[in-house]
Amino acid sequence: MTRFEELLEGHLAGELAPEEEREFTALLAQAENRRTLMAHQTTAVLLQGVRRLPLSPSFTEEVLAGLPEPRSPQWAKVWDSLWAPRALRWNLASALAVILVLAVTPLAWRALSGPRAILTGRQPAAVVRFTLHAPGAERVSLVGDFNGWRSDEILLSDTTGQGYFSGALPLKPGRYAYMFVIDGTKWVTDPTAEDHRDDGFGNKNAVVTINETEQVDDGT
Amino acid sequence: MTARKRAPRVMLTALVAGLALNGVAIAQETANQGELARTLETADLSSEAKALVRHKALEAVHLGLAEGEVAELVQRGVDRGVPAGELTRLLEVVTEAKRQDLPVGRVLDKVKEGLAKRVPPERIVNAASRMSSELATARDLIRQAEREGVRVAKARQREKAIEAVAEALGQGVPPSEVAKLSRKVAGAAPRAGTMSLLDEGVEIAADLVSMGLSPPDATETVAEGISQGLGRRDLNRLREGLARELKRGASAEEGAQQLREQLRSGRREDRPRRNDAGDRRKPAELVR
Repeated sequence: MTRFEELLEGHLAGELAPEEEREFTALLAQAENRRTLMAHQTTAVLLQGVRRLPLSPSFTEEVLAGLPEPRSPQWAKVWDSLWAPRALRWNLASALAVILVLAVTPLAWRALSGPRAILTGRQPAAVVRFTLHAPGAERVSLVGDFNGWRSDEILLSDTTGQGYFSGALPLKPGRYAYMFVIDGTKWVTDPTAEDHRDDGFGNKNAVVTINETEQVDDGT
Repeated sequence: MTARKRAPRVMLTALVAGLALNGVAIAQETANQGELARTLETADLSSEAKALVRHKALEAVHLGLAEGEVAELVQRGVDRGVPAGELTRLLEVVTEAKRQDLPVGRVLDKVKEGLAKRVPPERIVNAASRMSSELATARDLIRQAEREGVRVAKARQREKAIEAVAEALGQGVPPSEVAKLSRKVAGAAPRAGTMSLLDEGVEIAADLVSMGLSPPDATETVAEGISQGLGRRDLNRLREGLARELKRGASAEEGAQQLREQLRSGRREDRPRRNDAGDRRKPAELVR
């Protein structure tokens, strides 16, 4: 929009300040500006002669109703849905049901989050093979702090028939003390273990250490 | 169907689903709570003996020990034929550890180990008590380490460190040497001075002692590694390094001395070396 057109709008609306009027008059010296003014004046005369129709009271609503629905983003719809006021209807039976579920759910969590097995958890397990040469033995079990020192839980097998009892156990990274038990009664320290520690009872436990990214073959 | 009629059915469905979901949990919880009672009921003990054991077992449970663990301990003792009086002493040593808020898992484990190995109860009590004492000393040392600036990211790291220090104390590493290591870790590079590093360092020191090194030599070697900026994994290799030196015929002290010199000179046999072609290749894997 040119400066003259700005001033023309103000002149037609009767809103020009005195200095703006003087500027407007000065600009009328240009022929183009006079032609623009005449075009506006002609239009005004034509409009005065046009028949005006009365507007209905609901004119605005009718126009708005005719407009297409605005397409709001999906997230806006979700947001509006979240914050839209709602009326919640309830009864005593429903309330008691909710209370009952809320009351016993903590029991469920407590029961289900019991002690974790050594073999589960976020850290990856390493598979450790334990082997003992015990010719003449009928049964060899592996016993350690990884299984709560239960002597009849992890049985090794002699697949060669030559007294080499062996078994593999997945273990999380950490340090574990263990011994072998032959025929349920004889406790034997793993002679091939890299590390041994006194058990405080006059025996020596073998110790296997699993580092975070490692597989250990603790035996032959 | 109108929403008004639908709502009660939805709530009823939710109620049934909720009860079904929690049904197993409720049953399991009930089962756990009865385990101690069932164990005592079936135990081959006189009424007075059962009462004695029950009293001590419940004391342990009330202090926070899992009922399943207590019941298992009682069961193992009964299976072993441990008299009620001795059984209560075993329970007492575990209870006392819990009372002092020590990592009771280790003490419980030691008792289980002793029962499994058919060790006389008196010796189990002594070993477990000694372990409790070591855990208490370890906890003091770890608290001191934190005051000196060793950082703890998670509570579990602190507990692990306490267990590692207790283990080291049990292996003959004196508290003064542990304190030296913790000061070394506290003075390490800003991001390195962590409880995990101290845990690992103490563990390695205990390993070196079990390989024949004196405690001061062991902690000095580990301290040198920490000074040279070794992380947890590299500290682990000190153990392999000493084993290698011992295989070469060196004494433990000579081997440790050699390791420390290598650390100071920045020369370590397990570092990748460049060959003539300029490639970095790892040396042959160490024989375990």
